[in-house]
Amino acid sequence: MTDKNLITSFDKIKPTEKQKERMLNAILSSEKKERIHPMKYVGVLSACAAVFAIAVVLYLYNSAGIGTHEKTPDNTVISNRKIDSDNDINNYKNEDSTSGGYEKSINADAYSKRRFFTEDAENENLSTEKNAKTEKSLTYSSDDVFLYNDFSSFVGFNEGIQTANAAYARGYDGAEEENLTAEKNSYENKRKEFFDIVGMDFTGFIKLPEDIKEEVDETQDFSLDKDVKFVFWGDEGRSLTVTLSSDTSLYDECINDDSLNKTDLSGNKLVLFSDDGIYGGYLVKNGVLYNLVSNHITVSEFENIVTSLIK
Amino acid sequence: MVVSRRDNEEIHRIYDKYVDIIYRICFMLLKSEAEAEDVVQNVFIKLINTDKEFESDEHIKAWLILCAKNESKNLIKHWWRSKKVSLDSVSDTPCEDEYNNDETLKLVLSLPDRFKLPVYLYYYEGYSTDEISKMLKINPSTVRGQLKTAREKLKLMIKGGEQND
Repeated sequence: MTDKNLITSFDKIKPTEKQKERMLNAILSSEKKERIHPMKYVGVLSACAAVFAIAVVLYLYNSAGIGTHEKTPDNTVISNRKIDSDNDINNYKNEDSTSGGYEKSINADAYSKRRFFTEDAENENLSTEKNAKTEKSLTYSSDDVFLYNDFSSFVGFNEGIQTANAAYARGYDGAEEENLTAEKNSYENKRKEFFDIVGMDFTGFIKLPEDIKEEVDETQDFSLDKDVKFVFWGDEGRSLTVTLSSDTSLYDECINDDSLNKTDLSGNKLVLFSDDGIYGGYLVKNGVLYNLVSNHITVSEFENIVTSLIK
Repeated sequence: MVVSRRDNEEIHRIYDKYVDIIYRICFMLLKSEAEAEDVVQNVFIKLINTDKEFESDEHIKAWLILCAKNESKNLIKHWWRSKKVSLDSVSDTPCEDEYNNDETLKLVLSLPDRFKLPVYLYYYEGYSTDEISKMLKINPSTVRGQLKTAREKLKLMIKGGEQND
């Protein structure tokens, strides 16, 4: 398959003159808009009406005292409810989920799964622990994957993205839902441990440029790596990715590598690197490795972020 | 050039210029001519209704592409569509007959949705990975990763096809 093949193939997808005319007419008269919106509301209204009707039936059923369950001779309750296959799957997943708020729908797409992680992080009320930074260090061994293991070629970074994409694909296809749940729980537990060490909500002490904020949109990288990863987005694709890890061996390795650029900042030795407008670095604080990667962020902004982390 | 208020003539011009691109993107993601038509209409209606000021035709094009992608995804996620066709089966839905004869197109359309747009913008529209990342508001490295993965997937599919033959 060559680029030329691709171009020729893409060329074949185009609307016919008739389609173009039909669409243009609809657009110019904006009939389409008026046609679609009532449909949306009809759907919502029907759903509300159905819920209301069910509520009324249940109320009448209970108040009339006829809500006793029919039982078989061996005392098994017979349910009249027809269980469809979708409900079966959702119920199964409900049982599987150990923490609340996990997206259970069979049709849950990557977006809702991604949102889960961030919303949950936002919901965690850790402000009371603000000044209770624990000095303990994590002792468990880790098979964590670092985003960067090769400064020059960014091979490690791409591998990280692919690992994330693979996890995403598994979840998206619904093929390994159970594994996904286990990974999710493992991720959640690890994040809690990190929060104990960091002592507060992550965004509470990192100084971000004004337009950069924690935001998960549908195009964000999806990661189920066991490291705890925060992605902050700004305007025009500016972003900062911070990955926390308990495995500091990579940092130790880098510190001992004379060919790598290192900087002293507020008594902390940092491994910093830059390539093609991307700044990044490793630093260790309270036994946690911070792996920073920034895109389209200026050097001074990056320095501010690092300084706020060290303080 | 700042375009804010768009009259029929202006819309007509923009439509003529970009309808093929927008339709192509919608069709790639939705694999249905009817739904692609619906989304194309929605995208241009949004353009009529938006107060956003555009600096150039390229800016309009980028906006339309992002809007087409988001609208298509919204349609895929819409509850009544998911009732009608499950998300898992969308990717296996046979596309229109005339496109089925093109092996290359069939392979590209069978890629996961998130790879299609970068592949199209990079190989057909000729955007650089940085431009794509800005347009789609994603990390440039993510775009590069997606292109790399897409290429690998296509290679695997071609290899698989050859073995089957």
